Amino acid sequence: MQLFALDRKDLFLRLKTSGNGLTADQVARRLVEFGPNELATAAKKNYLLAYLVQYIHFFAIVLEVAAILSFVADHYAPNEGSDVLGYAILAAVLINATFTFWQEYRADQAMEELLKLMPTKVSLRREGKIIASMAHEIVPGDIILLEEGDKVAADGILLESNSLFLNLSSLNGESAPVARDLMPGEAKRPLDAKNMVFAGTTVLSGSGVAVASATGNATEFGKIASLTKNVRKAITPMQREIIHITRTFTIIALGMGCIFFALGLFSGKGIMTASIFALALIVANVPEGLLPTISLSLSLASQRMARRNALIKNLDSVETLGSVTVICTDKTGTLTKNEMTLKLLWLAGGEEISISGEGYREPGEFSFAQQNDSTENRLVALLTAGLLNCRASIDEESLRGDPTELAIVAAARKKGIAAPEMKKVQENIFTSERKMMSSVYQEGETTWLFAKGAVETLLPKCTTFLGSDGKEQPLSEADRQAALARADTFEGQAFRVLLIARGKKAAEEELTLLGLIAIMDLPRHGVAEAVASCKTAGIRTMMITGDNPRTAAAIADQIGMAHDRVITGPELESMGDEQLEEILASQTVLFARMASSQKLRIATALQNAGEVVAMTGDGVNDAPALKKADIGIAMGISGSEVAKEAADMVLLDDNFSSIVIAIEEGRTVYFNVKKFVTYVLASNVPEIVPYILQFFLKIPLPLSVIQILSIDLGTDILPGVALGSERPEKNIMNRPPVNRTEKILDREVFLRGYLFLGVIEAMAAMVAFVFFLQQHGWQYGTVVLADPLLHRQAMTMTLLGAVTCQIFNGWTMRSWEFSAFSLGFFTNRLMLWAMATELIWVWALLNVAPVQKVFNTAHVPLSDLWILLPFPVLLLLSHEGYKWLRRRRK
Amino acid sequence: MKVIAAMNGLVSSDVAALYALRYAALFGHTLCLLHVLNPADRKEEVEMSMAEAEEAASHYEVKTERIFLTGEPDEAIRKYLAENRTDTLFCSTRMHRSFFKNSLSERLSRLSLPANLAVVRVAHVNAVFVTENILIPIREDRLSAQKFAFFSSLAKAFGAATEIYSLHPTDRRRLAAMDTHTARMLFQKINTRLSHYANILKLLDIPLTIKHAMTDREIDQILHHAARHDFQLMIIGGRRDYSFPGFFRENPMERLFWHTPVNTIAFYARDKN
Repeated sequence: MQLFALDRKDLFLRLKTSGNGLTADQVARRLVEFGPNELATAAKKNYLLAYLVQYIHFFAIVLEVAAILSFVADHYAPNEGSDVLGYAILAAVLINATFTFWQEYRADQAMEELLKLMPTKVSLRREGKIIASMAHEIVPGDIILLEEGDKVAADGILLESNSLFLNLSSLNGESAPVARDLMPGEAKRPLDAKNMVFAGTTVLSGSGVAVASATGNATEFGKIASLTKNVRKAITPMQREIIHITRTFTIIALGMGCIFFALGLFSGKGIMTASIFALALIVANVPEGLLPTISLSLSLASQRMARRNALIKNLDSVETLGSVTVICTDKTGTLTKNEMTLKLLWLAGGEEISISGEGYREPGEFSFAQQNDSTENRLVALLTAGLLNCRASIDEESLRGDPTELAIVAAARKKGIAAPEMKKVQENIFTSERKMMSSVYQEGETTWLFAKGAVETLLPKCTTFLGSDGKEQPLSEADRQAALARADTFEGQAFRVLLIARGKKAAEEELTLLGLIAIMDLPRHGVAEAVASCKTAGIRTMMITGDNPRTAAAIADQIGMAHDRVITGPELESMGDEQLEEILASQTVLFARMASSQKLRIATALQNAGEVVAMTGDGVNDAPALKKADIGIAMGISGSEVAKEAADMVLLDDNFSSIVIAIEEGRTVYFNVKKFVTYVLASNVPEIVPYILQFFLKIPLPLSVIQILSIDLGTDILPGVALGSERPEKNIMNRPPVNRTEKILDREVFLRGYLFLGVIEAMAAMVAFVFFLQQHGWQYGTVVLADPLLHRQAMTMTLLGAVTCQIFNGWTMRSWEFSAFSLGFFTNRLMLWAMATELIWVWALLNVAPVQKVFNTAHVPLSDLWILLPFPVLLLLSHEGYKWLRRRRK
Repeated sequence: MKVIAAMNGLVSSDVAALYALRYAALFGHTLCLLHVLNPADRKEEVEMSMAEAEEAASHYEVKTERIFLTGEPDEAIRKYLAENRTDTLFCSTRMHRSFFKNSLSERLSRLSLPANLAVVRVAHVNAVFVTENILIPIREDRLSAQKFAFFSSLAKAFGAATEIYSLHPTDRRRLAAMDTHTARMLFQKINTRLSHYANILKLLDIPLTIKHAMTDREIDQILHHAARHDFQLMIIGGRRDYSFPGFFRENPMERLFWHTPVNTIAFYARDKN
């Protein structure tokens, strides 16, 4: 027999416990036997392994091989600086790996901090005493005390229940309060047993005592949690991009290295010279600073998003947001406030009253369409009756009770009504069968009964109504029809309608109809604007709710969410996958009466149709869908731990608008990455060209490998990061979503970086080098200069040629489409700092002896530097001109 | 022939004894309730547990005997097994931090024993009373005769339906490249190889389902499957070569025992020598 079906004696026997609870000794032993009451939802990340992985991706391996070759070269030809180069390359790998790892680690820590906010204390009865304990110390057999507002920490079987109602939404997605009883009902599975409470659920009202039957992963919550572990996600677009970029550069670098190594050998340069030459070309081709710049840029974006209430768990997901084409969103709490508001009242005398102020705490005014002398008194009578029949309470710090009752209490507060002093003698609780509740009060000799409930249940119990003269009058059939018609009108506007009545005896009969109240969970502020913004951005928004179709459609209309049709859970159940995909492709759909488990199917169907899906969720049942979606979004306030763990992003304010902000940020990141990849590519050309020219022409070496590294890992990093933090371009949300097949390193980036801007930079570097040498008496054909200082000065000119062009390149690259001058001079302060830093670096290369020693540079007189000026200006003007031409063509 | 339940007065050892009892009842073996005395003992609790097991055994008309040994538990048990013909030793395991560190079940699992060893991990105290579905995950078609015999015996003892969950280990790239036809052919091949087991279960009138999965993470896949379906017992093959925790990752067996949402028995076949 199942545990929940046993009588109390057998239950205690089987769990080896008693009504007084376990002894300390038993608890200690059971903790050893069953383990702590914790969900182990994922294998712990091994940070050592995560760090080591940073050393084995393509770039790192190429650089490590380059470092090894440098040390080999130093072994055979010492004192030529190859060892310094080897150390420099290793340092580059180390910096790169450490930095990227640190970013990932920080993102993980941010999530762990969030999870620590979960409640951990519970009340237990042990050895006959009530104690406060940590939730993870609960063991099977423990006696758990449950109070209103508590989060249930383990599965248990009820021993006592006092009007206990739970919110089981974390298990089944249904947010309606569920009554718990001492009898199991006709249940075969624990989940169906009415006398069971479940870990991860919340006590909405009432109290109870339960004996813990399962803890940790053995709970129903734990079982569902484990489902999230195995839904594997495809690699993110950013991961794919990084792989694509690193592979492309690695192939180019190795290809060029091999070609020039072969050419070197054939031209009789010797194996050592040829290898060092090939090595230099590999180092010049690999953009060493690219990966840390991408990581830093994504990290900065995630920090900006966190400030705007969207916490990103996985940095790569930032960019995926830019590709989102469909947002599947919950209704309650995301599109709406998750605070029921009493908006309309209908008094039995015929008046309709509207109430302003949304939610539980906002003040509000009562507006009367028509009124007479008794209207105010009848309104007070109705609200007082509602108030006396509520368990909910609102104070400065907390809200207690179910949302419908809170709405009544909030309306009474707006009117300044407090519950009169009366003695409550009885409460007849709400059940789904009765569809009403009532409370009986004693006031001196008078007995009062106050009732609220569904109109169709309570109206037949009314025999009188409070008429417009303030006196009780018999309720005629016409009056009943009037009340029903009004209720129907309210329901047509998607309100939840309750009838309020009172009687003068303890039985629920011969009641006096006081009126109707209409309650609604109103849309959040800013949601309609966010939905409109999605529309212009080419993103479909799709509501998936457990609520009824009428409410779903009404809320969708209020926020401007388009819908051709509403599909309900049972309809979806009867549909084949192909039919669903067809409907999703051809119609705009809302999903109502959906179970959380159906979200996974919707996400899969959308993905099969080629959509990039963002999916919101809060319950543990949502977790598989959150993992399956391209971007899983969990609710930070109402979300379960499991949902948060499964998600890529956590909304700290549960607000739909924050998703749209995050998408804008995601798109911005995509284009910003594109900008700085172009920026980095451009500097590769002046690094490669000097080596190729030196190979084919009779000139001294124009640029050393260490100088190449000083650009890639020195001067390029800060402007790259500054480009990564550039603000969204003004038309970012008017563009269609980024196509998944689109690559960051596309033809446009390649041509703009390598063949346009890169060529100008290479010209700048080589002209500066040759011009300087010629000014100082060099003749073509002299490969080894007699004056080493002159050679160092000439190499400094090459380096400065590239760096000065990159300063202007950084500025003009701030926009892919618009003029950099139209963006405002101070709108990206990091870019100004980056430019200033580069200028300081240029000064240091020219004047600071230790820097000169490391980077093999030398002081160049000011009179020789003028040659550097024309090329950066040329680069700036030509790129601005190019963008202008593109805009004109559009 | 005997079936031994190692008891220590804890709830999980009581549950392990109930599995032993059902197994003994099937073959008409004697159920030995064994305890190794030690200074930190709670003998009265052990005796209470034994009395409960004896009472339960009387319902199944199983003969019982109490055995109290002294000395190092693993050595004392090994010596006892050497002297007494035993079918299977049932022993519960604990969940304190690490299953594989200094627990009796762990030490027994490393010994060469003349009897089968069944290490029981209890997730649900009550599951032993309502066992209707038993799961046995295997790698492809690798199911030893001893393990199958144990699995089918328990299924028969409980009158439970069974499922063989065959896992085909692969990596993500191969998984992505696998087409439906190839997968179907692979599964058919495994089904054919398992058909003799299926026939035996049919003869024993035990319902069987064979399911397949391809995965790059076997333990997670098993846990996922066990959580998703309504099983009350899972039987896995004990692997002695998993005795040392990995440097970079959790010991797979330990991970499975730690996270399992259903009662699980790790079966170690007797040493053939």
